[in-house]
Amino acid sequence: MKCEQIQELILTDYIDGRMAPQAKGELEKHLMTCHECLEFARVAKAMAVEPFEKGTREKTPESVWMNIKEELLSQEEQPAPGWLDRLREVFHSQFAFPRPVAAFAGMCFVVMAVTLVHFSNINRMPAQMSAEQDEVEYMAALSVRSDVPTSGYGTSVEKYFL
Amino acid sequence: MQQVCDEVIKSASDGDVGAFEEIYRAYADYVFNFALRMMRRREDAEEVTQEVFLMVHRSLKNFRGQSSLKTWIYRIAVNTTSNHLKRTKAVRTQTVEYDEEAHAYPGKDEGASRDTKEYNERVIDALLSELTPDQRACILLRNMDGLTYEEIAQALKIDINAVRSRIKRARFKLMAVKKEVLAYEM
Ligand SMILES: [Zn+2]
Repeated sequence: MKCEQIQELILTDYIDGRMAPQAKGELEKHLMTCHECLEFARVAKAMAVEPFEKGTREKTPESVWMNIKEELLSQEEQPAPGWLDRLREVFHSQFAFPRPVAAFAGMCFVVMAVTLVHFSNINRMPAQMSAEQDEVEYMAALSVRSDVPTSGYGTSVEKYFL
Repeated sequence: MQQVCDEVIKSASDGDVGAFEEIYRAYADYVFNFALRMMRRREDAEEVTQEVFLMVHRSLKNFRGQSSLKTWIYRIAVNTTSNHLKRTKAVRTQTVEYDEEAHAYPGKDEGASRDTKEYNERVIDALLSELTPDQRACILLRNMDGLTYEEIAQALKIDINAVRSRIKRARFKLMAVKKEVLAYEM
């Protein structure tokens, strides 16, 4: 092994005692013959390990627990959420997009649906219909036919516009 | 670190404040000291510790025990601290403040005895100030709290090799800190 590899190991697995006995033995054999790596190991321990080992831990101020406890007890006093609230919560976490986006998407859908129902009623397309209009018509036809739940509309229309 | 048994975790997640206090007592000092060394300001560390345990309380129902409670709490602590650092940095350029304080290097204080706890604490501060927050977190979890590479990987949500390379870089930096800056006898 090269000195460079040895030194990388010293900084990580060797210092942290993660080496298998055989590999560790080989590394230490290298240290006996290579002054540079031996010095590297010494400085690494002195600068990157030992100061932290002597570090002290402070006690957490009791006020922290008092605040937490107060907060927990005040939460307890509030009534537990009913099933309707929970349902609403689940719904929001499942279909979370900002309200304005949802409202905009919904409005666009209504406008489109009305336009397209109108189009299919006359049962005749203007001669020079663009590919874009074509696609809009196709999507509207799909959604008019199937009974997709409301949440589905928003997404497909949204995708189409973005 | 004292172990908290499954029954206590269960009771705490069912709303037993006494059981939750047991969890708090077992881990609060680790969280507080980690936060303190990450941010240095006591008020920040207290705020983060409070935030961490309120989050632990809220999320205890989702704790599945695949990771140990210890690494799970550390993970919340790491995330909360890092969010806090980002927030406060925007407000009062935290890194500058950190460095300025750290430049009151221990070596400059002629009279300070090198054997005192205070002296060593200042050495630790000076060393940590050389590291990025990510590296600082890694070194603290490894060297102060004795987490294994596997536990650090879980707490930081990175893989073991990333842990190893972060630790390696951090220690390289620490080795390069000038002796005269620390006045550290080697
Ligand atoms: Zn060598």
